[in-house]
Amino acid sequence: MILSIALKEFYTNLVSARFVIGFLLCLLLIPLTLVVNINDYKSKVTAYETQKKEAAEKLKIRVWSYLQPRIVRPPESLSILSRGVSYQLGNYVDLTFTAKPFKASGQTGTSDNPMMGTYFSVDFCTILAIVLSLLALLFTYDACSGEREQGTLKMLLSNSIPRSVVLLGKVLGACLTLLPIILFCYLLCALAILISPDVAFSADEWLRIGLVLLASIFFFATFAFLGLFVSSMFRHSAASIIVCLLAWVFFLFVTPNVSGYVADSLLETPSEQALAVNTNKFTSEKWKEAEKFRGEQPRGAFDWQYSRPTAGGAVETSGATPVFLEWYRQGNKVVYTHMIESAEGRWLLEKEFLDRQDRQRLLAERLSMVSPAQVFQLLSSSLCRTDVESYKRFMESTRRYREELIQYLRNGNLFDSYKFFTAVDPNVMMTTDEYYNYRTGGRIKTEAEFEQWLKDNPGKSWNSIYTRDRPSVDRASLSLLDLSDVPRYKGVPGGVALSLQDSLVELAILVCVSVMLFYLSFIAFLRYDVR
Amino acid sequence: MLQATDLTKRYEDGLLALDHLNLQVKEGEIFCLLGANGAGKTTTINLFLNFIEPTGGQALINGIDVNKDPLEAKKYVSYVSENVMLYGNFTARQNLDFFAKLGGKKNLKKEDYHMYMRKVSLPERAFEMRLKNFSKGMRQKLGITIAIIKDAPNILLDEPTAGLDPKAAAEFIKILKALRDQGKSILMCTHDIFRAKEIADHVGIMKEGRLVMVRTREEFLEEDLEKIYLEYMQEAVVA
Repeated sequence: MILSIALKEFYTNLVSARFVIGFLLCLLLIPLTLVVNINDYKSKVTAYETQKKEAAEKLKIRVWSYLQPRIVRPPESLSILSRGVSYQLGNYVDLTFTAKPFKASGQTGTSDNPMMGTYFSVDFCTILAIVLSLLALLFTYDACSGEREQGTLKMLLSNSIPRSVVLLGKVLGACLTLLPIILFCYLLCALAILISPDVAFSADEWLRIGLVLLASIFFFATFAFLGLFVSSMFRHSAASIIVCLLAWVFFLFVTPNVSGYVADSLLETPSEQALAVNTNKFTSEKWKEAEKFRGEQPRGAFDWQYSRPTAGGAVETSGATPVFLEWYRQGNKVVYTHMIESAEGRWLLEKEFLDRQDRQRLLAERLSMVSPAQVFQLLSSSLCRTDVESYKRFMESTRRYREELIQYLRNGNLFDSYKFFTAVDPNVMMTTDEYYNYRTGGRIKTEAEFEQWLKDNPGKSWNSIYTRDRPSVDRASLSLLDLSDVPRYKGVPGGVALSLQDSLVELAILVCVSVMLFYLSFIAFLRYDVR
Repeated sequence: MLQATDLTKRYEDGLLALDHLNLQVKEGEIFCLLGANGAGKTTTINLFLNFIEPTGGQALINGIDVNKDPLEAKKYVSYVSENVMLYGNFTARQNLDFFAKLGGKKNLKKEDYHMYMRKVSLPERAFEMRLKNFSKGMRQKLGITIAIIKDAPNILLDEPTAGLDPKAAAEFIKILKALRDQGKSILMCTHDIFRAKEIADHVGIMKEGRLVMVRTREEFLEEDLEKIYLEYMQEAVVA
């Protein structure tokens, strides 16, 4: 009996204009979206390859203080299905000693041309959510009210069939209609992936697509049951369609925007610029403090080919007296210990900022979960690893890696080694006397003679006695460090199980809402006045 | 057999649509319920089909209380509405097939359906025609075909000849007579006093939810039924 009713529903839907329009819409929009997204992914891969090369170049280092690698996050191939927030956030992090990774840098947005941003903001899951939720409602909004108006519901129920059977038949009929469309969309997606030479999916990724498909089925079931429920609540299909369309607009377009706006109004976050001013000031003060720990520069300690430390603490000298090198080496341990500890203080400021941002995001997310469409988007982005949690996991992995590198340097006593800041053997560096002898072309042999000359020639620039330029070392000729035993960045942990764990709440919400709506439709239809 | 015992229906808004209706339609009988709009005729049908719950009394189909065991009771009844609206995108045969299955007849073949449609004089060209192209008369005939296929001992008809041209109505009445001759109990609500006189074994006149008059065929043939009916209707208007 259920099958007869289901087949009747299926056939009725199949020959209806809405099915043809829906099918054509999918046929047009899905391949278009896939082509756009695959191209976007390709351009992200190209950018990633370039960034990877830059990162490799950055790691051709001569001194350990430059062990500040760039961690580049590979573009997520599943972003073809759901972009999530992956295109709004950066994709690489430059590690430093003076700050923990705070946010990723790199190109954001989908297009190379930022002015085209608004034209490329849809992905496969968004199109599915928009088109198929509308179809689900269009196939069910008149399931009861339409049949009542038509008079067929009376004919149907004049037979010895429980209303529950009629409803189940209608549900099955809607499923039989919608499922082929959903499967067709996913088939197109799979074909596009298989055909494209630039995209290669692993078994894990295919499994994730399977899970997104499962989520899609629950999502469409939710909208189909919503349509059934509305249809069982109204006597006229005109009223049902109006309510269904209002619900669709509310869930698809109003809720995500309003929830973001409400969260923004309720929980304000300070500006990132203000934070940057504070943290930069903090780090610069800490540098000043740290430099004091070195103590007075001893007599004879000076340099002639030296790069000042970068904000991140990278420093290199290729020309300095042994006294300077020893003074600097001894100071480094305490200076870098202080700076690494200070990074924790800076991180507290940044973490507070991130926590506030996260609280705002969570509030927006929770508010938006009123909408099954938003729940589906969150769920699919989580399964496609393009959600905020995946980004946070990436950032956490870079922070962990930074700790590993620091630990590696500590274990090898590299902070207080000459190799930390100079690639030149200290034993071949000129002494103070040798330096003056060299610069004056032999006129002055010792530091004491130089000081005497200064006393004897008051007002004269000491430069006037120099006849030769500073001794200079071609840094490019210096040997690079062997980094073979330096810990490698292991990437972001994240199997399907972890994504499922992340998306369990969303999945549970979708299942619960669809079951609840089915139950409500069931109750409403049992009480439905068929006259 | 169809039987109403003190069947009463008062709607939520307080309207008493049916007031202690008592009637019985025996096997091989046609009972025509006459009455103005709002007299309670369709309410009676709706109560027999369990579309609404009675406020009091019982509607019995073959002795089964419809309110207590609607699914069992509906096995023994067929229904033809005033405006048979089946599925427009289905052909006549597909509609029959669908409703036959709902009525418990699962093994009918294409030829069987054609045979049933011939029985009610549906033109051959209509058998595989989509229903949206059917005239009202053809749809009513298809409606009664569904009842015939279900082969339930009782048939409820709600204004089945309303809007039919005289030829189509005459054909429809002929089918009903044949069904009565097969022993079916038929309860027909109608405004059409002439058709009622033609086929009814009993005629009941309803007014404001009450069955105000019942006559057997012998009785109403001797009386001037039109005059009695009009008198009741006028009283209703005056009241």
